[in-house]
Amino acid sequence: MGAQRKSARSPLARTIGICGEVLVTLGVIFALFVVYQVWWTNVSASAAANQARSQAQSLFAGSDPAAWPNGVPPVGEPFALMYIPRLKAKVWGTPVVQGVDRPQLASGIGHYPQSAMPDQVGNFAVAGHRATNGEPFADFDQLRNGDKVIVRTAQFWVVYELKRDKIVAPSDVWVIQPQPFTANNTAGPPLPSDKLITLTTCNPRWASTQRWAYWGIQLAATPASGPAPSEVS
Amino acid sequence: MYGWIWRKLPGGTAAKAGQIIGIMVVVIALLFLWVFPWITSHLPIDQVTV
Repeated sequence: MGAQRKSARSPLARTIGICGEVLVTLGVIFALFVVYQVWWTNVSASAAANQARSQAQSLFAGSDPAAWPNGVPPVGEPFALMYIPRLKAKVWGTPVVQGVDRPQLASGIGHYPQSAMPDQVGNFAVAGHRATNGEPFADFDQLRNGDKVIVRTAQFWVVYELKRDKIVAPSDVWVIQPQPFTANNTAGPPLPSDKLITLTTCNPRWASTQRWAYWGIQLAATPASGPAPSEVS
Repeated sequence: MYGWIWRKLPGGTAAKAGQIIGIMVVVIALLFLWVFPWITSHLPIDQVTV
């Protein structure tokens, strides 16, 4: 019957049939790509984040972070955990990994390596995905001025309070400067602290045409050996 | 194309169907583990840094 059908179809009909099969195949591949982006990257990022969290916890429990050259963790090292009560569903014990390239951002929140560490003078600047790859900042639009961000490092609990946000261009690197509002004073007066935090993510959520930056100031740093801040416990 | 693959596979209908499922699993694994990550790294769709 196959041979009969084959002989009954003209070369034109067969060519059109093959084109149709190719188009259907491409359609299925595009659909699979959406499944990959929306579902699979979150599954693999969740596994990577769990691994990074245990790495950070064993760092807290044992080894001496002062062994890092200049106190700066090597790229890829999960050196802190972040808690944001407003984003509790997504950012609660989320690992902060040194570096902001794809592998680091797919295992947690990435720390701009050139920016300050928590409790250092300067700007502790981090980036996180807002869609796909674990999407820690999926609900970034829920953040409000006055919200707390708590960072646990090997030495400290550091509490920050968010103060100001702005949607900027991807080229606006001033947002992660040690004193962003001195670097670009048209964005507002300087914040009243020399220890800042900056969160960056993409905007709009499912695109990357802009960046959304949120700045905060450090309120307190207490020893990690002591009790956790009230916002976390 | 798919008709040609179907005719080339050995065995009866059940054996052919089993082989098709195996081929699909391999193809999807190739896409998810190598092809899609490579494509994503060349698309400006998930950039969050300044």
